[in-house]
Amino acid sequence: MVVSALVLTLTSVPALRARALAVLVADPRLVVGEAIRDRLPVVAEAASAGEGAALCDALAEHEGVVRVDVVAIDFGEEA
Amino acid sequence: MDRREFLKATAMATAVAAAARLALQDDAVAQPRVDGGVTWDKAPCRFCGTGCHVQVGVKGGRVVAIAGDQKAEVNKGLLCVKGYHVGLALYGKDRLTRPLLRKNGKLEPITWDQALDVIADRVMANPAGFAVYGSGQWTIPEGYAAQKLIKAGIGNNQIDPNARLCMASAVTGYLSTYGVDEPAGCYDDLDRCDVLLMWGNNPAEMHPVLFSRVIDRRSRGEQVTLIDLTTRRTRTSGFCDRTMLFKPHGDLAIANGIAHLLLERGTWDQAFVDKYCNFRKRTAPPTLDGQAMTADEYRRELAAYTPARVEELSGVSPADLSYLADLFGDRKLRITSLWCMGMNQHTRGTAINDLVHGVHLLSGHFGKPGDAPTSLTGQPSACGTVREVGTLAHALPGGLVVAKDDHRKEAEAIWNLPPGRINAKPGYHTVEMWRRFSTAKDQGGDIDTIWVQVTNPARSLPNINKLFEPSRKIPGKFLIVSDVYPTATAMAADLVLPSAMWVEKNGMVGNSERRTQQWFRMVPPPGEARDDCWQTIAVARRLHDRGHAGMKDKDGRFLFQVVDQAGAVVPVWDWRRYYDVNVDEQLFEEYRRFSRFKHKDLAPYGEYVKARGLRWPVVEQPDGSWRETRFRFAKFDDPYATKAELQFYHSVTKDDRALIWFHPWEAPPEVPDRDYPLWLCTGRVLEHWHTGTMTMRIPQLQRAMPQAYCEMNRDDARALGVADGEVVVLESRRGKLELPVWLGGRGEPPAGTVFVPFFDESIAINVATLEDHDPLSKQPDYKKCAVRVRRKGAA
Repeated sequence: MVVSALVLTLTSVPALRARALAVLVADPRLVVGEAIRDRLPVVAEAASAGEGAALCDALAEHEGVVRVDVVAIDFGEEA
Repeated sequence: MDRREFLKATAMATAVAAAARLALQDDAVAQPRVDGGVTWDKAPCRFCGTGCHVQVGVKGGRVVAIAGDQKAEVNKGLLCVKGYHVGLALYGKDRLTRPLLRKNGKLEPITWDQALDVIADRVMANPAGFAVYGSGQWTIPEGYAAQKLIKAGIGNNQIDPNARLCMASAVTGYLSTYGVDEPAGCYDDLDRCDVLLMWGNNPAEMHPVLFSRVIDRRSRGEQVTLIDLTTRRTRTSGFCDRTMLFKPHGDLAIANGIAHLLLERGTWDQAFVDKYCNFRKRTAPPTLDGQAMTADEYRRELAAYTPARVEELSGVSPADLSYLADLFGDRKLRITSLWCMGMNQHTRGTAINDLVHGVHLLSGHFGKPGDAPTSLTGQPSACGTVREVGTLAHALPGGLVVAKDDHRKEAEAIWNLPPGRINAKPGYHTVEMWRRFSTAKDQGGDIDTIWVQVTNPARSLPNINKLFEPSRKIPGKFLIVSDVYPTATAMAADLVLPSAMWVEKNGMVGNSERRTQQWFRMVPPPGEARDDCWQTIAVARRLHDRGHAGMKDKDGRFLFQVVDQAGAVVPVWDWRRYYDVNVDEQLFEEYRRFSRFKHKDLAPYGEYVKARGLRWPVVEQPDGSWRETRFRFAKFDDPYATKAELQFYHSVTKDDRALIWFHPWEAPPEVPDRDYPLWLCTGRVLEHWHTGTMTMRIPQLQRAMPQAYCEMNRDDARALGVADGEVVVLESRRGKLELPVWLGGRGEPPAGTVFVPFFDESIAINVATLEDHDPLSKQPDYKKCAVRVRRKGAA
């Protein structure tokens, strides 16, 4: 299991932003925190580092997500 | 709460803190601290010269987690893909854990005691032929110890670093323009510029965290114009407002063309130039001082660089050149230029560095936040260890040089050496050192032993079939390698020493923006691996015990005498006692006495323990605090600039003025022809660090980018009948190799150009590159030589 701490930058367009939030909250792999202005703290959980990286890439493709920054990664169980 | 829930809670706390920092620009957010048995502490990232700080999570003597450091100004809590995997660099399965000596062709384990004897034997047998080849990845104390061993002890000045291969031309550019090395500006310029002009630079991959600072401004609605001057389209190009492809070596013509238009249009900043600049041209042979020229002479020399001529030389259109000149001619804009290897790994590296500084000076785009020509560095301490400690064949710490009598006297005073101890003759620069190591003694090969620390010259030197491989076959040549993994160099060595790395030892480094950073040892190294600094001191002590006169100061004390708080000598050459005291601190406190000579003042060690780095000059304030400097030479920030708004206080011309140089465009030493019709450019990729000895052992990074490749233009591939993924033979006049082709990959080389990254030890692209180098910086050109490509099996 690999746990990553992410910060998603959300669009300022209200409709797109709301839609993005709805999609993210519904994703069982994610724990979504409370947005601070345009920044959304998210925890992502994946079976492997490869899956985690693929998940980040997929998040970046969501409509309403401007950017994904990975701010921490725990690899204790992979190391 | 189970471990999984705990990890997720910790990650959420980190994400919230980072989000707050990014959204609110809030410095006061909480850091992850001691929790769940994981202890967190700060360290700069092990990889590039950006100098991001990470928080390192340690549990049970192992690094188990990495987080971006919220308190770090450089990265504001963010990391790149290499950064957040940096902890795994310690845990490759094949760490070196015992000293190994080659016997009958095989590397066999020996004791440390035996290893130290082997090195001492080599030095004592021929001290003049012993050299150290170091690195911009040395920590500051490691580099300082090696510097002192060679310059103060062995006395032959035979020390040079791999940084000669990555940023030496930036050094000579700063020296010839301002009289002193390293950028005037800093990363704050990225937050303030209106225009970011990248000269042969791909920060989206090579300095991604810095690049994200600029992209982040855009996402907040700020207007920043990004311009990519490049020989191939890269990931950076995709973010830019304009990408201008230029012919290899055409950058000199572009810079001259901009200057020409500024003068022709009258949009240069005459008041700025009259007040702060002199004009300069080169001499034959070239020197860093050059010779004076008048403004009229400068204008006449530039007259040839019309837009049409520049287009002919560089491929950049008159419209694009005019656009650049318009930007520089607009005084309201703030323009930051960035460059790295593209301008430095260049047979005219000093010249193009001078010219870019010159465009900024001529247009007055200098000295205000956001208005700066700023080189980026590739390695974590190319600045801190190589440029500041001076681990170059001609240098002494603090910007002093061995060739000057007064400089040697200053160094001898600090090192308490007898007068005349330091040799006035510079040692060999990197290419020359390795050429002589790869040449038989009776043919002038007077270097017979090289001790390599923290670098992989078997893959990173240019033209390795000439500079490295012959040494492995010539009797009497002896290669010592200190490293953490069995790199290509280590596997070719006669003696291998296992090293501690990163947070397995104390350390200090200096990043691209003059920021000195510190960390403490957090986990033990594996097996018998030991600090490089200890290795140097232990060898010095072995030489001392054998009666080598250079290992004592003028009072008979050991060159590396370390004392405890009571003043008693601690035998730190004994590994069991090495961490009884903080050796790093004692070496740094000695070293920082040198930092005053060129106004590169460093604070006491303890200040760096508290900070996420401080940018020099760091000057003590009346209240006892220490203040860093963001913008050098500018009166509003630099305490040494007192006479005018801008004061170049180490001016070459001794009049507080910077120099605007004229250098003509000249053809590169090798150009494509009928036999070798393609340009080869080499470089790096996002996922890997240099020759990949660490990152290729991190499974996530290895999987993301598993192998080197030849990036080709589709038209060239079609003409050769080469398909995507097909293995081809790439060949220059110096060597050949086989590798797969990647079409439509990450970069898009224009027709007639191929790109090959150098991270893959199994695909040694430097069999093909040139050792030709800049006449002043001695830095080779890895960015252009002539090659041909054919299908494997084709004649």
